Amino acid sequence: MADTRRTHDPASGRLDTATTPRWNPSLSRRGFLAASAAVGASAWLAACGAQTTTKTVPKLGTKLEGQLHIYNWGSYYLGRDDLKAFQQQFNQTVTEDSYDSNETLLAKVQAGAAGYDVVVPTGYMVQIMAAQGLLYPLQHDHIPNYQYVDAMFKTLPFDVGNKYSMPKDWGTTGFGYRSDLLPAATSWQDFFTLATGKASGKTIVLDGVNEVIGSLCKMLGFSYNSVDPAQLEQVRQKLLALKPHLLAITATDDITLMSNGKAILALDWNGNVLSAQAQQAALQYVIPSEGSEFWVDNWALLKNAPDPIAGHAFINFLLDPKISSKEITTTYYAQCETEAFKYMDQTLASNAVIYPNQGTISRLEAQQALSSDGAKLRKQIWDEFKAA
Amino acid sequence: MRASANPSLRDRGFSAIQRLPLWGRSLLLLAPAFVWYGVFFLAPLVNMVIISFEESSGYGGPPAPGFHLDSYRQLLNPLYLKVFGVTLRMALLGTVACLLVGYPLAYFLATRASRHKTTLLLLIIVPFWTSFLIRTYAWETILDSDGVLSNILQALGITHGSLNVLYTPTAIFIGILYNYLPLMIFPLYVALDRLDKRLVEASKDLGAGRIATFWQVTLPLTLPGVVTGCLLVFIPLTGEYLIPAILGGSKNLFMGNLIGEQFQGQGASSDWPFGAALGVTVVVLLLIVVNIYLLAFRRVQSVPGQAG
Repeated sequence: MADTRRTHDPASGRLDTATTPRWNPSLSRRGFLAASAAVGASAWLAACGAQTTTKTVPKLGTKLEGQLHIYNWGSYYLGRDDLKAFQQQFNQTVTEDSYDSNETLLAKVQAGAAGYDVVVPTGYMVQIMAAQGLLYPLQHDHIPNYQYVDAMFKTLPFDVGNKYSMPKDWGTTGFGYRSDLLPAATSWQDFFTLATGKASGKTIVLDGVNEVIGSLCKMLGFSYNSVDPAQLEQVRQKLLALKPHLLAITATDDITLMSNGKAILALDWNGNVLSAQAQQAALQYVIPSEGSEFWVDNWALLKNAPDPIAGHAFINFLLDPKISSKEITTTYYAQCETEAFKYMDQTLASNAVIYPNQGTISRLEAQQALSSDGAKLRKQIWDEFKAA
Repeated sequence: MRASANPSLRDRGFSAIQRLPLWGRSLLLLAPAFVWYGVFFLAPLVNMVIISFEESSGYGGPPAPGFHLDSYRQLLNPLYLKVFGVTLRMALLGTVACLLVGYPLAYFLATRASRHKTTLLLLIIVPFWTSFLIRTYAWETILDSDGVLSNILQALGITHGSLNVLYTPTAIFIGILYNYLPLMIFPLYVALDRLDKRLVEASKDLGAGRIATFWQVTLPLTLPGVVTGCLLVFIPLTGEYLIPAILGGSKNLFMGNLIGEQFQGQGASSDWPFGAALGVTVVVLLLIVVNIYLLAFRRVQSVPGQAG
């Protein structure tokens, strides 16, 4: 299953410079000095390009090898300018490979894919990989920018205390609907009613077992991560009732279908709905009132990383609020640092789809690694849903 | 020096090969093929069988070693039997449709096209130069409810309202017919082209009409082409993955999609051992079906009058 929430292809109706002003790179010298003073040892990139000022080599024992290998989601999930700046500042050659799902990442690493330093697993996958001893325990003294990470990302159940991962960005799962064609919707119950009524045949859902089953769990008042057989039986019945009304189950065509108006209701990630908004202004993103999921993608290092020092330097570099504030113009997903707001394009910072308010955030649950039996039960329901 | 040494070395090599018994020489020449199939076909196949008996990790990825029959037990779930049924039905329908459309076309190409033959054959081949994926996506655009076909049909007054075909089994069927038709046409064309025309003339001389000649002479003599064409279409169709995913909107599951999901599915939806068990079952089922099919048509191989 392909997963496009990370692939921000400007060619397919994405937000572009015309609709959202790009990050303004003129960083004031004063701001620069203040910030570098605050971070102390951490290295900084001066404004307008690649002027290096304080160049600090992290002290993990040896020197940087000059080669950093990143294994990441699709290529639009890391800002080009930021990458170039890192390469120049640390004199590193960076090689990138991409994967399309957490499971691909896990399978490759388990199968012994060697040579990668930095990987980007989603929360529940951090938990799985850490449990299998595949991740490098992070040395926080080499990531001074960790201080900028917001408190809510430091105690997430999949990695309490960020022993193995640092938050990269986060987003939510909810639904998008066309406010010009459909009555106002605020809950998963509204979603279901519309999908089986007014939006029948024009509704799409993500091709993702966790998102779809989790969302219906929330609708019925259960946990997003429920594996209770009785609860899942209720979810199963709702899913089978929903199926005949669906236009498609997709995580690859969702943005297109919303953009060209074929789908007027879509269970999707916030960033994808936002992307389609460029073509369909009346498309509204809703985090349902029953609650929903928030996912966090994370930077992590592989246990057998060839160059963990460079890996730490890279993670620290991207946690720099000045850099992470620029990442958002590439990914359109929320950064995990309040500090980054200072440097961010304000139209993005004030966008409630990217940054929901605290009240909404408190209704969100994180995806967790499920028990083996629970996962199998969900899988059976999912297969039945797809084959129905 | 070396130049003079080389021929003798070569000669010695040759004579060494020549001294080998016949089976030895055959083996030597077949070695690359053996190695190739061993490494890239047999070994993965064995690996798949092994995985099918292991236990799922519950979150995708390589399973834990062991011996379990869980995956095969799961196969008996009516849900998966239904997917088997849907796939086989669509594969059969697709094969028959390709035959019904392909035979007249191949017949025309072989007997009536005369000097346009090459051009027409080329027209059938040319689309193959474009990726299968792109051609299937093109159909998504054509069949779209706001697409070309829908607009033309409405303009001509043939349909009222937009065409609602995309993401339905009908769309999958259209995609299959389009993509697999050439696989049917070529073996039929070869069979029809090689057909000894004098036999057809003889049939007519002996008083058989056009229809009787076709049923009693042309069709039986071209049956090997029919058998080959049907196999070429049917076998890959049972594993078809792309067309249901693209034109079916991933909501009309085929065996190929179900297997794919076991390996690529997100989180809980992937299960390697079950996917491997499905794969093994499909291979075994196909072996049985194809052998029955070939057995039924064995006499076809020995039909006399095959020129060429």
